[in-house]
Amino acid sequence: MLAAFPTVKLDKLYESSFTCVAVLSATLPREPMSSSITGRLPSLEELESYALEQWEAYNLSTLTDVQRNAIKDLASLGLVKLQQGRKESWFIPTKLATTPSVSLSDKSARKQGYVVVETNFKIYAYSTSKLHYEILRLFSRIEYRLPNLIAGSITKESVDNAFEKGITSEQIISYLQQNAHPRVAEKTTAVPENVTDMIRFWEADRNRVGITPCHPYEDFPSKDVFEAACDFARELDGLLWEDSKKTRLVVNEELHQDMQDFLRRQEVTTSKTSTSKLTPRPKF
Amino acid sequence: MADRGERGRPSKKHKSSSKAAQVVEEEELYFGEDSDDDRRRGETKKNDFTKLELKPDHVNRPLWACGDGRIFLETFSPLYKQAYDFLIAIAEPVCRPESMHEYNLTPHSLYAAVSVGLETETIINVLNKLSKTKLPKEMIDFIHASTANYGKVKLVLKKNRYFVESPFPEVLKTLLRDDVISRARICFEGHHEGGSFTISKTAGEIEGGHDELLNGVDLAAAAEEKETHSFEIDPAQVENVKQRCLPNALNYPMLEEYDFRNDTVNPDLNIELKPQAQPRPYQEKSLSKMFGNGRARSGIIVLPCGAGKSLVGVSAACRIKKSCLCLATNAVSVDQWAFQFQLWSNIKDEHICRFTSDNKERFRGNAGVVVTTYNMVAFGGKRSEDSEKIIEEIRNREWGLLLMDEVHVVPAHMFRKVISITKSHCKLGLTATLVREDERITDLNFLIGPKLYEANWLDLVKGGFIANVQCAEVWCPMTKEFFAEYLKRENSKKKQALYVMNPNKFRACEFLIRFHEQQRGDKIIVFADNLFALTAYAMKLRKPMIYGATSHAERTRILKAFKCSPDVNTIFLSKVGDNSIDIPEANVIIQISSHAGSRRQEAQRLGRILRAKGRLQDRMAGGKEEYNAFFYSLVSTDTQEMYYSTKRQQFLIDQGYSFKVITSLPPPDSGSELSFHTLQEQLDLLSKVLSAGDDVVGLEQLEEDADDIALQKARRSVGSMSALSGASGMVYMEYNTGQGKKGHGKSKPKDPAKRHHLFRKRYSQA
Repeated sequence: MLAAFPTVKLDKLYESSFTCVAVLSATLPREPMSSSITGRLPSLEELESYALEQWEAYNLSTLTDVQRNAIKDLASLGLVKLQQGRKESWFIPTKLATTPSVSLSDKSARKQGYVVVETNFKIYAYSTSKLHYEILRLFSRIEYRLPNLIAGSITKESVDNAFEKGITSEQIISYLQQNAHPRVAEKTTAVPENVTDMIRFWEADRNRVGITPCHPYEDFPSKDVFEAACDFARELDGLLWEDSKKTRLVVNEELHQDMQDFLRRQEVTTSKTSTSKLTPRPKF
Repeated sequence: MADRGERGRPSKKHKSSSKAAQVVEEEELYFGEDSDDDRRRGETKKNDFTKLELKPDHVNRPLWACGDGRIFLETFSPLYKQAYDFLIAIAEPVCRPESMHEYNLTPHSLYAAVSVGLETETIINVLNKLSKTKLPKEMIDFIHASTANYGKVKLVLKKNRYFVESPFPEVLKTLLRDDVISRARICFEGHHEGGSFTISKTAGEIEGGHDELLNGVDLAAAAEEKETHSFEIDPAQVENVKQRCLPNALNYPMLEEYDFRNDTVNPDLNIELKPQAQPRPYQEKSLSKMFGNGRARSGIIVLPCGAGKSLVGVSAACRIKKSCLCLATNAVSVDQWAFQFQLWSNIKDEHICRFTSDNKERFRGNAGVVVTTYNMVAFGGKRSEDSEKIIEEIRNREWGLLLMDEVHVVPAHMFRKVISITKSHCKLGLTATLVREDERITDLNFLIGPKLYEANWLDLVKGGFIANVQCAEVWCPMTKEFFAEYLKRENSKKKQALYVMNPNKFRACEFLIRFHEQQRGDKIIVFADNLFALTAYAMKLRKPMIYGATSHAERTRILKAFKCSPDVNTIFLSKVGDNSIDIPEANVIIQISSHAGSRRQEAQRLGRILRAKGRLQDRMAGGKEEYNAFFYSLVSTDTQEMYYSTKRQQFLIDQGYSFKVITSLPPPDSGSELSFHTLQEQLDLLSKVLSAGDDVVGLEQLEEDADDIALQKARRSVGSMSALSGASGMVYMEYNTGQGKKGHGKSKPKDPAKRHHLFRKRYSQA
């Protein structure tokens, strides 16, 4: 969509955190400041100078009208910063947009990890960062916040919240693994196996019931027609359920048209023997 | 949910506030859809301690302390050992996994701290030294408030009479203003109501402190040579008086100390530890807490099963060297305790006697050790003539030490009775698991005394003192047919039988038995609470079993065969095997059914295989065998069992154990050689379960043999509603499932007024 904008493919995990962070802070994010000045809040000047040395600027004139419109929203979200030059205008993707969009794929660019996950599903993050806090809060229940530590726990409830937002178990696990505190990162399993297993089970638990649109058929004139219909549906890989005692069956909705054609053909051949009309019921 | 409606309506209050505040408010409106989010935000505001000031060298200090009493401890800190010993003395452990421990500071835990001789200022100073941040003011205030009154009142037993003693007469007057206490007071002629106290010098009492064990502060010194004032109380009311003095009532918790070295009234017992009895470091430490200032303190020592609690008990008796009454839960453990005394100490045979319904040994000499059960002492009915005589002796004797095993299983009323019948200078409670599903644990605080020491399970595993257990939860899907019956309402009483007899569970159990017997040559215990299942499994697999009705002789025979015979490698046990039956050979446990959500039973069963086996160097961290014991809990998926299982594991998980979930047992490519392979076999089993009477498939009701009453009663209380509703604020699976789906109507169109201002602006433009 945006020609000049680097292709940023946001992970769901970060996507929802953006909305939180951007809205909460309203100013530029504090996260990407160098560690030497994390102790206090950066001033606006510091942010500006930091921005100029760190961020790439793109010319606004390369954008179409639609894109220019969209960039304003992105600016409001804190994903880009608009810069008015003397002659031309520029936009700069903020660290908030660039950092998370590379961190899952690019390991070398990663900073030192900060998360310790325990076998009892507790999670301890050595961080003062608001962004870290918001990210962790997406899939864990934060219980305590200390000056340089965030303590929480991973519960079924908390990961369910994350799943609702479209975050997957693999994203949560790889986030925890890639940001593991050096103390635990050197172990073979930076995140305890029982925790990663359980997060996956919880996700699998949500996918146990699938929904397939379908059509039921009943009141077959004869067992033969019923069986022929079953065979027909089975051959096309659309037979979902059959009950030969009561001569009822359910087929995939995609097959409905074919099935009707098939039954009509059957009806022609059997109409002499049976008067009942085969009518598909509306779908469930 | 209720607050969602409120959030939907922006209140006037917020509209008038500044612009910045409005942004926040609107943001909340936007996220107001997600009510859970809001709740979480509320929680975190309450527990936000980010304002605490970090000390410049915080990296070198091991802990954080929060205003609400929560303490976080880094276990990788070089100061961990010292910090752990200190914290376990002043705070309750919440969870102790590998990297980070959590503790809670409570009035009870501080009471325990004071009674092991720590003073208010010491507690604050040390805590401050260890903390990464400045101590929150709330915490300092809390410590001051909680400990201000501690250590001012003592309960003393002199010549078989109880006295409340204090150097401060005004404190005693305060106590006597309490109804319960004033009624408990025994007044003699010549004493006026509320008037004078007996006055005596404590001079003689404090001189004897040989403080070779003490590394902290000498509590006795605080009393100096002051006059002490005292009044006598009715022995039957002692427990009530103690309870009134606890932090949640009058807040003058009583210290109970026994200056045994200067006790010239009670005859000494000639008992010494044998030279080969070398207490391990943690055993030594727990003893040092008990004998901190040269006297003996009453209290509870918590050590995991298999970590050598009996040596601690015997050592305590050897230090006090007075008559000792040892209480156990059943006849088998009475035998085991008597054996432990003979194993670790040089006590003469005639000085130790057992008193059970089968074994009534008489006490000879003027001092000795009596081992008996709680029931024998607390029994209210008519006794035989022999028993009556022995009980009379127990009642009249002034015991130096009352040693109580497995204190967590005995119900409070039984304790009250035992403690009011027997008079002892010092009470030592031993247990592995200070958890109960009812609220009885706090009772122990006043019935016995504060917790003196609690070992960290993981540290003991690392040290090779207890086995490193691999815990696994095996998920067994219900077969279609069993699950259909499980869901039927008319089978509500058979639910347990159905999920325990689930053929997939049976096959998983059979597979595990075969694997461990044949591949590793292990010794296996299978636990089942459900008697119907126990019998069915044991018969089908042709293994010996022990349950409530199994005779003492039969039990002994089976246990001996299990110990010695290479042909008997698996035994089936009902819940009679949960406690105190010592089976050191076993190293695998398979649990096929259990008592609802009892955390204690889970820990207790795990304890059966915790005794370390093999050579020490193999067991130490980095040794040859990573795991040498296995604990399997078999759970039928989609049934109540899943919920119970999560709850049961909580205690062990808090101690740092993790349960690996195994989903495919037996492995898909095998299993035809196992039972119930065909559908027909499974259906036969199902009809057997369904045709059995409801009374047969229920829980085991233990026979009323004297020894097991205590166990049974305790168990029954565990199954109460409080057990099912989930204790101690943990969040369990069951309770969450419905909620997630209700709250998030994703497709629901959003009210334009509730949109975030950013989007509202956009849509209004369009």
